[in-house]
Amino acid sequence: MGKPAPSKLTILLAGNPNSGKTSLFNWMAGAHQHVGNYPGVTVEKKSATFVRDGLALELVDLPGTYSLLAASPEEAIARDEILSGAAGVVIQVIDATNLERNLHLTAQLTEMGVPLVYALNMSDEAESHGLKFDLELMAALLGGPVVPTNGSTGEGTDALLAAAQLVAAAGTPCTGRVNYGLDMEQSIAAVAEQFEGDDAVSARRRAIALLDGLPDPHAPAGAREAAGREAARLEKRGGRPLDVQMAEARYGFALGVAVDVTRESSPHVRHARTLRLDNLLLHRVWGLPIFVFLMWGVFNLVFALGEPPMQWIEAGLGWLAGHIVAVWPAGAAPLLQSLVVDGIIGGVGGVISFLPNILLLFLAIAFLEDTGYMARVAFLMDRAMHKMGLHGKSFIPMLIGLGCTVPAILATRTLEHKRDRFTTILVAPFVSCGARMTIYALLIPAFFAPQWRGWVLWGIYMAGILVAVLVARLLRGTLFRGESAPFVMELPPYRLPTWRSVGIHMWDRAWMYLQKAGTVILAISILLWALGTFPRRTEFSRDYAAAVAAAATPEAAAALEAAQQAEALEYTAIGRIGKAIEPAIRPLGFDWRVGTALVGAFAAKEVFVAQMGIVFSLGSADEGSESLRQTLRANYTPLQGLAMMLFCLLSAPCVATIAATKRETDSWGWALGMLLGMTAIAWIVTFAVFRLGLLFGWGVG
Amino acid sequence: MKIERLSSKAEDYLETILRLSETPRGARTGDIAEALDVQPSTVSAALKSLKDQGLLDYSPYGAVGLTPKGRQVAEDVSGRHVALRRFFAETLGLAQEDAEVAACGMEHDATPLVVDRMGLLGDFLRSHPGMIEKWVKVRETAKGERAPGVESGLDELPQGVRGVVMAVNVAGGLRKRLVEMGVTPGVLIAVERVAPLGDPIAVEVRGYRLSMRKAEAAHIRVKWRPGLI
Repeated sequence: MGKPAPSKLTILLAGNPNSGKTSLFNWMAGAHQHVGNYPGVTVEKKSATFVRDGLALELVDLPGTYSLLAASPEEAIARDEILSGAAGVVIQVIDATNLERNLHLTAQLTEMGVPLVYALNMSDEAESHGLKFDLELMAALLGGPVVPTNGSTGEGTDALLAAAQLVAAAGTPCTGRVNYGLDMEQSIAAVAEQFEGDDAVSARRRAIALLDGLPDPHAPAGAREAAGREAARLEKRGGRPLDVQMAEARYGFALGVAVDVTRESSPHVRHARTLRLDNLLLHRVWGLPIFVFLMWGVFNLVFALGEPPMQWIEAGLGWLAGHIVAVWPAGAAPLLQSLVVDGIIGGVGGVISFLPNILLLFLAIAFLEDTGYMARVAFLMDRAMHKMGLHGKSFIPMLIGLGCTVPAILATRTLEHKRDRFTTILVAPFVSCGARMTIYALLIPAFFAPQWRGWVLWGIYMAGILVAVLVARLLRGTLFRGESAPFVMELPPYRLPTWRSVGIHMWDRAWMYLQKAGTVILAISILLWALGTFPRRTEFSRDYAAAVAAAATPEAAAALEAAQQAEALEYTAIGRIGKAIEPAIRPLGFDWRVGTALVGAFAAKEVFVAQMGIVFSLGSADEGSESLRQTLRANYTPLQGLAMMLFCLLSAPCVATIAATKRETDSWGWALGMLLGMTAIAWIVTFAVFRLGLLFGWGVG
Repeated sequence: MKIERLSSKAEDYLETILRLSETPRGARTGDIAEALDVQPSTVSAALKSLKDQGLLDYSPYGAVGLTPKGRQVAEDVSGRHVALRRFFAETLGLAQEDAEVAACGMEHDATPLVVDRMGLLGDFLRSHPGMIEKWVKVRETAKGERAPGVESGLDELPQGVRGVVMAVNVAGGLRKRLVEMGVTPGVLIAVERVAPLGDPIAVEVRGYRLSMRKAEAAHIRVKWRPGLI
């Protein structure tokens, strides 16, 4: 060998969404894969490093795109990665059942000046549709070897890697295959001339991009000028925008190749199964009931099936905590014991008790996405969701939000456009989650007569949805202003996913949650533990230890211990914060005790109930606690009770929500913005309701 | 069995003579010429030809009469005319004048079987409860849009009709997205279905399915291609 062998060969996997690219990646990468984000954007980066035939390979699964014109972050990343020079070879995965549209991307890939290999995926499915392909002709026309593959069995993946290694070793870049016609070719040449420092391939590529309207800040002024002039000339001559003419030329190439390489075509049976299924699943009358039923199934899968393992985890952690307390040398380092038992185990619990829900949610989402039904969910719900300023695909996150906001925010991954995704993330917490239910379960029976309880609960949930809609519309009118992202979306053919791909998909997402959101949740949980523990009170208003020892009955002793706990909490940072914020929350009808509970509830909403129990010296309370209800009734009016529920509904639900937001927006700015914004909205709405209530004398008696 | 048919002109004469002969004046050359909007001399020549074929019987300056064979042909034509006019007016809902013009145009070419089936279809619609009402509703909302050569936005292309994309009249990201998905001028496109809530729509283009909002589809100009998919 003349030149030294490269230490590592980078292979990029490009292709249309739904072309089966990721399942091929999974077959090739096996257990070596690593999931992360591309820097600066929340676009998933999947890569794997492994050795094949003595050569280290890095396989990167690019985001699925229909084009490389960089109109979306995914396209920009795919284009940048291909052009970065790091890639030895690019494999395009082509869905054999949809050659024409897949080859449109090929047309663009052949202009990139990189060696290309093609995986003709799902050729078995295409054959069952009556299609056969002339692979040799295809390879000749596309300028790279064509390897038939099967994403569900992994067939052909080894041959694909072998072909990629061979092509990379030869290192011959594929050169432009698309002829744009005499007129456009002249213009391209005229613009390309201006890129003096570039080689022919790169000059042509940049000229085409400029003519296509893609901004190129590094282009010489002459090139930009020439592009403007030529574009005007071609648009005048063609009578339509230049980017349309260029797309026509690429599709002309795609159609030409598709027709030439396809044999025994019988288009009548193509996608017949998909058509039949859509006739049922998108039926004018039955489509929506079936959808509601499926969503009910998803919700129950995530929360009903997730409930027992969640309880096992909680029971397990409880047992562990109890065990540690039991074996802990009595009296030794009580602070360390509290840190381990309450801080660390509590924090870990806060992270992994979500895990069953999240695994099941991602299982459901992976299944919906891989079968092709997710696109139908968007299709069915878009009209309603679009009116709210959201996207059809926002429906699933909002639905999941009824159970828990954290998986809801993670579920926004399915939204392609940043505007839609961020809007959904920011309004999802207003949908009342299951943890907030414990607060309503405590407060509603405490303040409202039985015949009103159902209505109040219904009203609270509706209020949350109403605020979510209003905020979504507000965001679309301000921060996310501008034309709404196009809904133009493929309805992919229905396919049966393999357990393998669903499993990998589910595990990747769950692992990312544990890694990224989990660490933040754990850290803040420990911080909240510290705030609820320090500073420690050593001097109490009376000698509780002696009083408890002297107590006549166990009940009296328990009451004394609870009173001591209340005094201790009042002394801690959380108690002090509660007192410090009292002036700010007094207009809402809250006193420092509610403030303390609210601060503590930031760890998790259900903590509100326990904290209220402690501040009222009732010891540990739960949402069914009748004595706590009596105390609340004695201290607050129903209007104040309603104000508390409203505030809990609308303020940021918990640490985990903020951590998930940070994770999905990749920015502390958005996460903290959400915290502040939600607090402000909660304050304003609660203030308005409370003051109006006072004014009209509702629920003050 | 091959039906021996006269020229459409001859049929028109026979039909007119039949109609006029039922009036008190009878069918006279001048009246025939007036009814058919031709010169009296033309009428004379035509009548002679018909007489030679044994369809008419007349003496100069007298009323024109039909032979039994001529009457048979005239009644057939007249019957087809009436049946067609009725079909056009009552079943298809055309105005009386339009129905008359359409019937005159088609009465010579429609075979008895075609006329019979048209009548059968009309009777079927009227005799089955609810059918004619449904059909009238469809008919009234259609507004002649299925006529070939109509151009409209893709959102107005009825389901089951193919269209050819003429232009994508929108700027920016939406246009880029549409053309890169294959919605380029010259491509065949069809609306496959409308979402249950009325929006968005699913279209078939280049052998796959694409969904888009109606507002987005409105930017795509299509020329309708007659004929079902």
